Amino acid sequence: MCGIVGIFHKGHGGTRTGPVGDVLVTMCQDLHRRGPDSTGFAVYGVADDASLVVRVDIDRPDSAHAAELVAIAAEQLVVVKDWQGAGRSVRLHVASDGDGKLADWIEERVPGARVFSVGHAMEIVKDVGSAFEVDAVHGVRGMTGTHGIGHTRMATESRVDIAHSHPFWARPFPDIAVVHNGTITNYHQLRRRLEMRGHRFSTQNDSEVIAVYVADRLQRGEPLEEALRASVSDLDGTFAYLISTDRGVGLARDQFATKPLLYAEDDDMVVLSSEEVALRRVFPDPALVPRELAAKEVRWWLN
Amino acid sequence: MAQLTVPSDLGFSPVVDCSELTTREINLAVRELIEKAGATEVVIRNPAARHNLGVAIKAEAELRFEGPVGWYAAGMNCGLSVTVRGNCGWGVAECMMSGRVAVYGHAGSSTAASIRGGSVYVDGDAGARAGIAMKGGLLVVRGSVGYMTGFMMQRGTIVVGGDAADGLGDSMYEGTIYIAGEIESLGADAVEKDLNDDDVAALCAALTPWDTGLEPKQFRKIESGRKLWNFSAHEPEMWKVAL
Repeated sequence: MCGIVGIFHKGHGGTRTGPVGDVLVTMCQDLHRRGPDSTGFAVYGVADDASLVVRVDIDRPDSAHAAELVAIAAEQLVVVKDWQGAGRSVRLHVASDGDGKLADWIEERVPGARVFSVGHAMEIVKDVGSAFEVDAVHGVRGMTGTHGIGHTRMATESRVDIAHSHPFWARPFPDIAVVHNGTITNYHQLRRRLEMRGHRFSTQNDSEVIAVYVADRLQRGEPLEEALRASVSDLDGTFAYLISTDRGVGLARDQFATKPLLYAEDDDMVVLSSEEVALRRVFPDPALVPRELAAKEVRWWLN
Repeated sequence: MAQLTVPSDLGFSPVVDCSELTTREINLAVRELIEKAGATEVVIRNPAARHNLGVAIKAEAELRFEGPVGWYAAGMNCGLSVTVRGNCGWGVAECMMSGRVAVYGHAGSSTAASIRGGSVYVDGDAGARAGIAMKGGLLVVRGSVGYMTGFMMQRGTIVVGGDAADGLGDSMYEGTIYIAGEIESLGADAVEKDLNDDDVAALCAALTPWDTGLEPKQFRKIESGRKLWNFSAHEPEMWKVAL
């Protein structure tokens, strides 16, 4: 059992922003009992085509020194415009992702460093603990953006640590992330197929395969709608998942309707949640009526 | 928590505002008002889709939720009449023994799961596995129902005004499903049968309390084919049906 949430601001060519971090933190905290182990967020600011933000976790006691090492390592491959380090978290602002090699480059050169996200618009922040605890460490509430997804995890498939927390970045594709509630039983098989196509995985977690599976299809030119529909057939197990790109959010539910997922939308936004109780905490207006996804249903909202 | 009492000459229904109360406090307040203070009607304000509200009450009284409720609302009740002005989450009215639950909104999965008696009305749509393992009672859904509605129902009646997703009536033992809309597919051992006069009378009785605009002649009847009652592992055809 896990909790997943999302918010998407419609229109204006993807420039309408709102307090995405605040909404996601509040909703995830309300779903805390669905998964107390860890919490994470992928927040999308307005995309900057000329640069990317890289989020790195460093497992080092001397965090300031380690953060500097990450910046130096990245600088050897790409131009680092600026960087900040706070605790275990390093945020790099870079000119490019080195043709998709930047994440591997950093991890190979800085022991203990793990790249959580690379994106023109997306930043992934995740940690063990509740939404409020993660916010207290990483300042998620202050993050504004066009859209975002969040997750509160009850670990079933792999260990409880930061790396196995959601969202999972669809490495190496910038700006694509997934949050998932459920269990993918054929992920070894899917993972092998994707690895044969040259993809690399950061963890042993089953949910990571969804992100790479969908991103791989998007890279081949498939519309998000088709990739979502294909996933309902190809993924075996129980799932309700949200996948986010720089343009918006998509979602899918398994053929047995095993895991809950609701959406509510009006002219300006879409809100997504495992349970209505979290949605109502932020949007009490009764005019916003949530609807539960049917079995095998997919939906998507793009700017 | 303050002791709750309801004067006998009270001209209005007592109100429980959920805003500042825990789930346990809400349910205790409702139970005290109905079972000890003798209230015949209680209004619940600001339920905000919270879980497990209005449960395990044995009394003939009215409970009105002025807003959406979460999972397992109005479950395990006996005799209580509950109205929800808004959506409800999974498992509304689960294991109800008798009484009535009316939802003026959509219902999540497992609506009226394992009820033994009473009636449940959903004015909108109901999610997957509506009426799962019903052991009696009546479930009326004016809208559509989700995947495997009526799964393993053992007794009782389900009335669906809209469409049904895959697997309608899968592995039902007994009981009856009436449906006015389209069926995506029937479940294992669920079969369509002709409507008779008793069915029309049953549908009239089921629909009369609610303003559905539906007529008995619009409905088809689904019941168990009873081929799974005596499963034989040696019959290959049975494996196909069962699996």
